[in-house]
Amino acid sequence: MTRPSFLRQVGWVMTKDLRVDWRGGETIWMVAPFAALALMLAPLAIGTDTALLRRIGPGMLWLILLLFGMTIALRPPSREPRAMRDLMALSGLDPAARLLGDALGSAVLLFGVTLILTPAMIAFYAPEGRPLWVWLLLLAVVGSIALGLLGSLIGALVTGLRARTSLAPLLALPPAVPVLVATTRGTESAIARRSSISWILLLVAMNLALTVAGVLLAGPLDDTTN
Amino acid sequence: MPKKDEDGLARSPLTWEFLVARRANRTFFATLLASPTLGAVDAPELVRLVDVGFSVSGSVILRGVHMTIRSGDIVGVSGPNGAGKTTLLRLLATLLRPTSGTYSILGITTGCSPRELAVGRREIALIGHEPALWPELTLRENIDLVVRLRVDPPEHDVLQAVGLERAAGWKAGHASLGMQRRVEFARLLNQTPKLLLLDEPLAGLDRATRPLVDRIVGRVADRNGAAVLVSHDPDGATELVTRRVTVSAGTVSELP
Repeated sequence: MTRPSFLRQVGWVMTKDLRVDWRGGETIWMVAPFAALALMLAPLAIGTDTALLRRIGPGMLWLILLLFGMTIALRPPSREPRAMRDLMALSGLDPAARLLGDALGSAVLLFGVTLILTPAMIAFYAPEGRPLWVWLLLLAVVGSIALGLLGSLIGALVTGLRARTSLAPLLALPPAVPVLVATTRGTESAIARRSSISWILLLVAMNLALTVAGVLLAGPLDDTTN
Repeated sequence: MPKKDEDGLARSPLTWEFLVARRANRTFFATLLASPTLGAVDAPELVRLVDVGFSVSGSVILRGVHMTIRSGDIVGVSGPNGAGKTTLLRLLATLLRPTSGTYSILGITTGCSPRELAVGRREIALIGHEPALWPELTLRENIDLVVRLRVDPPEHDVLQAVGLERAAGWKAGHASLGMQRRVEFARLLNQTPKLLLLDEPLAGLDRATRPLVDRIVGRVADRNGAAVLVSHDPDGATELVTRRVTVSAGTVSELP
């Protein structure tokens, strides 16, 4: 029996998650429109204070992405019924590959949502600004990966627990704070036409740490949650 | 002074004697059940459960299970609803960890590493009573996705073998329960597990599809594997069954 390589297993899980999500249409037809709506409603509530809007824009963007991102990233392990989890466990799939595949799948979806929301944020919060789009694009990539990894790690941690729905946000909050700060500050810099490289590097370092933690913890977590 | 049992609880002499006698009986029957003389003597041992128990939040689901499964065995497990049959099957699939006792299942033992567990599990196949299919994906995609993890490339079109080639593009969520069950069995046509575990294998299947189950079970046994078929109805398993086991109120006993 040939065993696919680790990377192929990661790709397998990611493809499966994306295909299931695409067919279900949850991210496209529910998460993305609601996130965009939430982003648009804040300026309506605040009014025409452009200076304030410009100040809070990046924070609002990443706060909304964090909230909706966690909804996306926490889904794969907890959404699947027991029969599916059994099938995956007995397929010989490496638990670490499964976790990383879930994380990357969520990251791709989040990246898509970020691509919609970032221009919307610029249009509604800082229409006069001329941001450095390259930095915003890089921030979208590393920020999405960070949120995907975080959500999948927390998801693996709470799968099988009775109190998972209330426990997951509580567990996600502390590690999400540095991600939120780095992405927000990076976006502010890009809007002010400054380099965001230091924030991007910080996010890359966080992603590496989360990946290592995920690979090391996936096996024991999988064993415990079964 | 009253004697104390393993839990440290005081017992009257009469109760104590009763417990000793009951333990002796259990040990005797356990030895008998685990004895190679009951199965094919020379066949290699694939599964050994020794005094295995499983409880959840203080409720005992299974207790004192002694079981040996050898290559070539086709074990039929029956018992009333809620007796612990599915729990036994999930323990054999290594998806549940016993709360007491020791086990060895295809080399997976009580203290093995997660990697050893993952490798050993590749030799186990389980079909539970709820279909393990992604409802958003087509029947073909559900087959291909799982097959790609086990063999590369797939040996042959298994959907054709189960008469579902015309429904290959249907979403699994739109297929009937019987079709979903057939897809699950079709997946097994491209693999030969060492330990095949089927929960209510004939449920939802029409008469024409039942020989497929026999074919899969027979092939596993012929290739030095073993199969365990769980059914609430003693006649609900296939005619290939070579040993019969009953589960009642958490205890497992072999039928003659």
